[in-house]
Amino acid sequence: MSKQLPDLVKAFVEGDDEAFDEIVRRFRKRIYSLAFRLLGNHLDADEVVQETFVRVYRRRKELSNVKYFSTFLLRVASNYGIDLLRKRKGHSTMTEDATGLPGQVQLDLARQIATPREDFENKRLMEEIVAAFDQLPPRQKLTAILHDIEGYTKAEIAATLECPEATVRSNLHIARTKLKKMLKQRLKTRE
Amino acid sequence: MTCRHASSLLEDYIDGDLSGELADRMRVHLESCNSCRIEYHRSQHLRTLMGRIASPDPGSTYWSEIDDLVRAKTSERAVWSVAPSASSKIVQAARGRILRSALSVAFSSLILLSAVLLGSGGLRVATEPTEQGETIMVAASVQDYLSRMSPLLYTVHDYRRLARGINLVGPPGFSSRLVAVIESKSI
Repeated sequence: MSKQLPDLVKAFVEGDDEAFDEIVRRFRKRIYSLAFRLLGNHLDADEVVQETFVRVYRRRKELSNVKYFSTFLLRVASNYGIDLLRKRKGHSTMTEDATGLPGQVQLDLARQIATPREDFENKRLMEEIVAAFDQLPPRQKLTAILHDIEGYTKAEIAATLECPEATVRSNLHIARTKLKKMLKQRLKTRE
Repeated sequence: MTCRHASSLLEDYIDGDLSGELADRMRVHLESCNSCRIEYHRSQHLRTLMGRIASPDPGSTYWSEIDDLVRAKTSERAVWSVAPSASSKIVQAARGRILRSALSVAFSSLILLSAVLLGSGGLRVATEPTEQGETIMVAASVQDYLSRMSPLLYTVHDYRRLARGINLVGPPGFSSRLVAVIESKSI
């Protein structure tokens, strides 16, 4: 029977490396998904996943004082993701060159790409949305991703980003207003 | 409710963050105001589009690689305690200098040894026993030594034994040479 998260974290803090391995398995997809949406390419998302877990491992002693482990983990990932985004000057690359990726990863990613015929229009639309997203400042972008795509609540985001809930609300409002303006032609209306 | 007020509450309304009474007033306003209703549909459409920003699954191979990489990185860091403080940086720099010096001495020694061996007529290798059951020694060049890929480098003790007429057999190593010496003596 699999352990509950608090038990796993406790075991990890006490030096159980197998508990840490289990934590990695449980959270790796969530971190990857957030990082990919924030940075827009596999290589950067991969870097965020690895660095997040390495940082958490190094800070294991702090975890005994952490109330919500998943929020802590998300904070570490978000901070590193934002740093990376700033380093990349705020421009993510959704259509990355996959030739630098390991063979099996290339294959697995390629299987998920729809045929050009069926999804040409969809691809254009996605490029426009991603381009609009890229114009947002990193924290607004992250807030919008966490709330509107990943489904976190405003309180969870405030705890993750260590800011008041009002700031989250304001960042979301500004981000959505900008996005609506940028995607004006694309946002259909139903009268 | 004015349109201005409704506009400021629109996102919270869609998020479900408005209290019962305020949400009711908002619903009534949206039913009666065409421009606010258009804005409401735009916002909802935006959410739908945002939800379509995909995050691909890189596959099971990648996930197992990630497990291994993280495990390797964390065990590596635990050993070297990478949370570099100023003092640990100094220690690491000193370690680096010592390592570089040791490598440099080892490399110089290797060059010197090669020169000595070349000067003394080349490296020696052991040969197969002859038909008479004797073991003979031959001189070989460095190229010969490298090409055979089965080097038996002689130690100072080996040379002393050779000088005393004792043949050496077997692979390099103290115990095998010792056996050879005993066998030779018993002969």
